Amino acid sequence: MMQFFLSPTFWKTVLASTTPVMLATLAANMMTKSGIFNLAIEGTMLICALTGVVVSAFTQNLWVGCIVAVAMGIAVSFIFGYFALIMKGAMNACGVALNLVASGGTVFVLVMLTGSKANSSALRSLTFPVVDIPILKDIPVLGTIFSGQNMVTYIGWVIVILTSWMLYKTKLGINIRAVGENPAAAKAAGLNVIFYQFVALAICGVACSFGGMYLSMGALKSFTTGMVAGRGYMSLAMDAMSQGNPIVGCLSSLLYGFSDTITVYLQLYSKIDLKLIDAFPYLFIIVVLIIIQTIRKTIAHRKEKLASLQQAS
Amino acid sequence: MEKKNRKKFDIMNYFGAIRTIAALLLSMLLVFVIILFVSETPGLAIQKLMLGPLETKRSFFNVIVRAIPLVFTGLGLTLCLKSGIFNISSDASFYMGAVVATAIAISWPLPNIVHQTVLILAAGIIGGLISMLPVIINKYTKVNPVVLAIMANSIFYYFGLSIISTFFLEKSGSWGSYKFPDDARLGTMVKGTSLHYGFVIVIFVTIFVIFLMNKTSFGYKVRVTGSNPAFAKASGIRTGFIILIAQFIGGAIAGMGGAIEMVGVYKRFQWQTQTAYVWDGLLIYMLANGNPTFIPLTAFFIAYLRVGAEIMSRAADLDPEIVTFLQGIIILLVASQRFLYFIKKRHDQKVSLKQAEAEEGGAAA
Repeated sequence: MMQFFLSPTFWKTVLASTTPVMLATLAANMMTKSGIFNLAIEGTMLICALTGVVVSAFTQNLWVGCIVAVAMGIAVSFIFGYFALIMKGAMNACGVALNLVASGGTVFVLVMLTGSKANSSALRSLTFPVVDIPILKDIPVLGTIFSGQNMVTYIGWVIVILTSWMLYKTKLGINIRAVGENPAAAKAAGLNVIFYQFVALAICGVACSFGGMYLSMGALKSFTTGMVAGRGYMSLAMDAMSQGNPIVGCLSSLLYGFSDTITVYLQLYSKIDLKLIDAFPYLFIIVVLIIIQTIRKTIAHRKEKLASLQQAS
Repeated sequence: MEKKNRKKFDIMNYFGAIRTIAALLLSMLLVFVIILFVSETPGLAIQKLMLGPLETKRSFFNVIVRAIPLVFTGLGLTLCLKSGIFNISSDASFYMGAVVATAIAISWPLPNIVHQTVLILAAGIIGGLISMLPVIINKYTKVNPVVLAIMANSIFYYFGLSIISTFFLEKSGSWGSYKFPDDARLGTMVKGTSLHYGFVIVIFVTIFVIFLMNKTSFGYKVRVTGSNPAFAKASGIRTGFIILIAQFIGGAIAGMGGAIEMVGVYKRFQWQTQTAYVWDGLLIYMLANGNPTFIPLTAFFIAYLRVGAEIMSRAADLDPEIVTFLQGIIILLVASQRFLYFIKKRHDQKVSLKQAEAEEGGAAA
């Protein structure tokens, strides 16, 4: 029964279902690094998923839809930033509020446009193509896993690499991290705190919009209500695991993809109640988190002990 | 002199309330504008939304019945949030409370009043324990409790649903558990309406929470811990313990709400989708400005909007989800401290200028 671990298609599915969470985790990473707690990632993804579908259906141009959705993602993030940073609202509450706006607003718009409360299959929306990578696709196992993914997956990888390069190698990234680490000190050093936080919010918006579009224009061919289904919240847990580092965040979001894919396989092959299996990704991630954080704590504890011993000697 | 000052009515003392009402009106206005643009019969839609629940006796009592679970979640959230932890796992407590109530109602035959008491208390205990989980896990993993609470909501939804569907599912007909026996249900209070005796319990729980938060040392400790943890710790309050107990009571209230909603309104367990009372509860809490006295009032308001939206969607061509949208906007405006801040700022400046002038005058004399 456990043979599916060895099959390349399993790992291909893992990569595919990782994509939206990977992008959401990147967004969450940016937020942590700039000292913001953004619950609205979930809602931003939902809004962008719908925007991409609607615009691409009406213009019949994939790239126009893509650009408008990205602009929408940035706009929603800026709205969050406006209320949370400039109007000094509680970040939790603002995040929850935007999620409500997203879940209510998307259904409302969907009913207005299609008459259906469930999905947008009445609209003829476009999807991102599947990309075959020339040389890679001929290599036996690696080819099956890494080639033939959706275009958004590759875009996502590029965004992750670019963002982590930006965060650690450029002046902009260093400033963003400084603002997140200690806003008061950054302000004293002459940095415009709000400006750098809004730059981070913009990157968050871009990542969210691609995550959302992957769901409605890649993995599925249409928008269904509530299709983000907690991935945005999950990304915040991944972010806690990776402590803000985009590359580690990308790797830890693989955990989600892995558990999500296993869930599908378990539902096919085992006799446990279907709904109970649905809880598996959440439980799996919480357990992994507890283990990782305990290990981190013991390491930190030991280091402290060593340091104090060295001081004593 | 002092007496005169106290007597003088100063509208700025009510600034918080005015701000909340302004936020409400502004967001309602926004929704009206949206309705005006998208609906073919905007007048009818707005009329049904605002006055629909008052049209028949039945729909008015429906509003009260709708408000009952909202009061429970609102009160539960008050305790959780006042302790300084943004623990929004009330939905998990609520859903599991309903599941526990179903289990006891079906599988444990007991005499009339005892049965309801047992199942409500059991649901309360389970709800309370669930509500403590995010805080405990947060202590070990340092993951934000909001995230853990939201994950808990999903986990316990799946868990509860699978309990019902493995043990208590009636095989024939539409999806649902076995019927509750009559001695497990809360009877109807007013004939011809759906109002059940949960209404009485709500009143008692509300009075209990008001008393607990405002008149006991525990309530004071919770408020201090929430507003200034460092100070609370320095003055000898065991903050961790207080936070945990507050989560327990908050979750217990939510769990009881779930049980009461289940045996009060339904004849069998039918919740196949995840409940979303916590978002309503959060809005109720924020509108009441964290004061449990106002929670029944704000819960009534939200229930009124919900029922109004449903009546509107039946009469006009609009989807009731617009109310969720409206709720989001209201939370955004109420939450942002700087909304209408300029009025307060200008007023404060005026007051301090006057004071400075008076002092100068006094010095000159």
